[in-house]
Amino acid sequence: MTTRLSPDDIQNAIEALKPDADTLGNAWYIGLRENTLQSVLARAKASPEPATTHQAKPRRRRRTVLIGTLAVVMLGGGTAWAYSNFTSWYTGGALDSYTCMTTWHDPDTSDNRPDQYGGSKLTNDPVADCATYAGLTGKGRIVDPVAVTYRDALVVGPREGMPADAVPIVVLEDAKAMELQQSFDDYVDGGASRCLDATTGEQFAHAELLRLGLAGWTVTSVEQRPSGGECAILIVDQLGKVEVRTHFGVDAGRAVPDLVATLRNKIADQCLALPDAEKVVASALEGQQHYQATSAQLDPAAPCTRVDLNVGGSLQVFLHGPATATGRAHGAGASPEPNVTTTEPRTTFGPLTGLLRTREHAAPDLHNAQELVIAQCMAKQGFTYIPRPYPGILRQDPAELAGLNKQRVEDWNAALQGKSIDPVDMTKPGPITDPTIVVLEIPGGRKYFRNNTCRYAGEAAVFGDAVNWLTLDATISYLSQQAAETAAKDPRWGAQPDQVLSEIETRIAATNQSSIERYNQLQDRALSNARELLTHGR
Amino acid sequence: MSTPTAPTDAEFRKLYERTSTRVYGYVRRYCQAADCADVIAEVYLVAWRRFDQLPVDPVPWLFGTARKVLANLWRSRDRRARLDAELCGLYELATPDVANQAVDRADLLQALAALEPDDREILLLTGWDGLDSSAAGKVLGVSAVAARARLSRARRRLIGHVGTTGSSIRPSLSLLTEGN
Repeated sequence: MTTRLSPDDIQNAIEALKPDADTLGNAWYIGLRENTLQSVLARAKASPEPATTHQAKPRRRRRTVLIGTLAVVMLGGGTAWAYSNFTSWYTGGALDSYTCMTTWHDPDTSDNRPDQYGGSKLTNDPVADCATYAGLTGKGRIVDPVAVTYRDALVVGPREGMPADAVPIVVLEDAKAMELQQSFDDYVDGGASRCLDATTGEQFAHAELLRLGLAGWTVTSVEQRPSGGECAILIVDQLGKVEVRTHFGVDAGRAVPDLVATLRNKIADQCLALPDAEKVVASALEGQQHYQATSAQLDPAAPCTRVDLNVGGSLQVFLHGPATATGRAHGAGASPEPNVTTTEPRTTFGPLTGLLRTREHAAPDLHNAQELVIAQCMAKQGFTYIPRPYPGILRQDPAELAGLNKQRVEDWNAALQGKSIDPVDMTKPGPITDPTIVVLEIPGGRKYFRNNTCRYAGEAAVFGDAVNWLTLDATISYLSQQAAETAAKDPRWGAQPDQVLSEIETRIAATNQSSIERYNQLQDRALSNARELLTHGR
Repeated sequence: MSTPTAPTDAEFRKLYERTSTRVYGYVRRYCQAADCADVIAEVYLVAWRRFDQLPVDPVPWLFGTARKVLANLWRSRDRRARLDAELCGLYELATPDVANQAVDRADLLQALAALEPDDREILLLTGWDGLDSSAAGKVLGVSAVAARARLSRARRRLIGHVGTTGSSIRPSLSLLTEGN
């Protein structure tokens, strides 16, 4: 008998089979559960990992580099990497991989066999990657290799004896799109190095698309439902489309802070050739558990090596750089005594660089004052909120949600940043009747915010008129995007990106002087408010 | 400057009490009962060492770690034994009474057992463990887009298996039903 079922029918049927909670509870009974916990604690304390330190640093603007033809080079004497390290990891992750086999077999079998190896993608070329893994593992190279999709796996095997159901890969994955996603997931100075929202997430996405020379892509913000936290993630949804998934989680910037600081200080803020960067990475990864092989790709057109650190359960570093460095170090890490704040406003990843006053040296006080107000606001509603020190990168403290049931957790999120606003509701005819929704009219369209949240209260306390501030801030961000998009279309863009961008920003600023001046004045007053709050507001 | 520190016993116990039953439910599907406690201990040892890196919802992360621990466990053992343990877990854990569903319980279990392990895994991550496709992708180490595609394919394949009997049943399943 054949039953015609819908996907919903089958999903419901599977869910109906779900194990009974009491059954599971009985099997995982208290005695066994407690014994296991005590065993974990005893083992953990018997062999703790060494404590490490990190120093919070302001973000630096990513260098604008032109990517020419990329070539994969295995540099002799590069990263020393033990395959035994790789096969012993067992943390969960989000890294795609290739399976390399010298004789054909089911890729779902154990990976500890002499005719199979592989690992995370190093480049977009599976054949090249398998050659790399063959060298790293000491296992045999594949004779006349062919890359295929085989039983839902990406496999490289010998052309002879290729199974009939293996489908050859004829189009390689787009290398620039891969690097784009690596940048989005990067903890050093990329999309995972700070807590992004819809505005800053879209801004970062556009900047990266420009940097990588990816024209014609769309960037769309989508609200994560249910909300997982305050930070957005950026996803290359498909070629040509970037999705900014807002309120996805609070994971931004928390992982391996010592490794992040090392890579930032010693590679991102320096100007290294690719081999030198590889050595830095090799040294930095010593003692780390669970890391994938480092991807080091030659980019002859790049003046310096750029670095992306992705963290799933395991770590993976991606390097793109020249054989010889031709640029100059530019970050705070290049100086012997890096500081969080400076006496002179510095150029950062941000809008209309150089035309706005009160940038980085004020940012910590502005941030910390808002956090203080947010905490006070949350406390008035019976919630715990632990202020995040600048730049706001801190894992959520379990104490904030301790003892809260699911509804109260939702209430906590709503108190902090409000219930999400459905863009579809905002396009319906007629006036907006929800008094908690504030409409910001900016060039390029409207933005919507909730005014009954503690975040809004923080903005208002520091910047005075929150609507005015949010409108100006959104306007400046929009102008910055326009400048970047216009610059990318300039025929001189490839050769002189910084000069072209500066000229266009100056031109745009000249026609938006009132907005910029109001922005600068508001920032000046806000800094004074912030310092008053920090001094007397506790 | 800030110095990451190990979790306090209280912090770690909160995490454990909040999540260990779900982790057990996942692990129990893939190993024999006698091995489960050891597997879970390994998972939480990693969690203790990576406590600062745990996401707000740590369950997908814990499942992903468990997956790798289980892979280590079975690497040195016979693949057939692994499959037997997995199917045993499926049958033992599935709720015995299923009413008002479009599919007969026995048919559905047989169809699930006949699937490739990857298909079965993503169906149970979403259907039994309560993860959405994005979280399931995190567990499996694939993108959210790939996870959605896998889930869609797995459902279609399961639909194709439902209702067929006899030749579609794996030899290992018949050994189980015969009490071996």
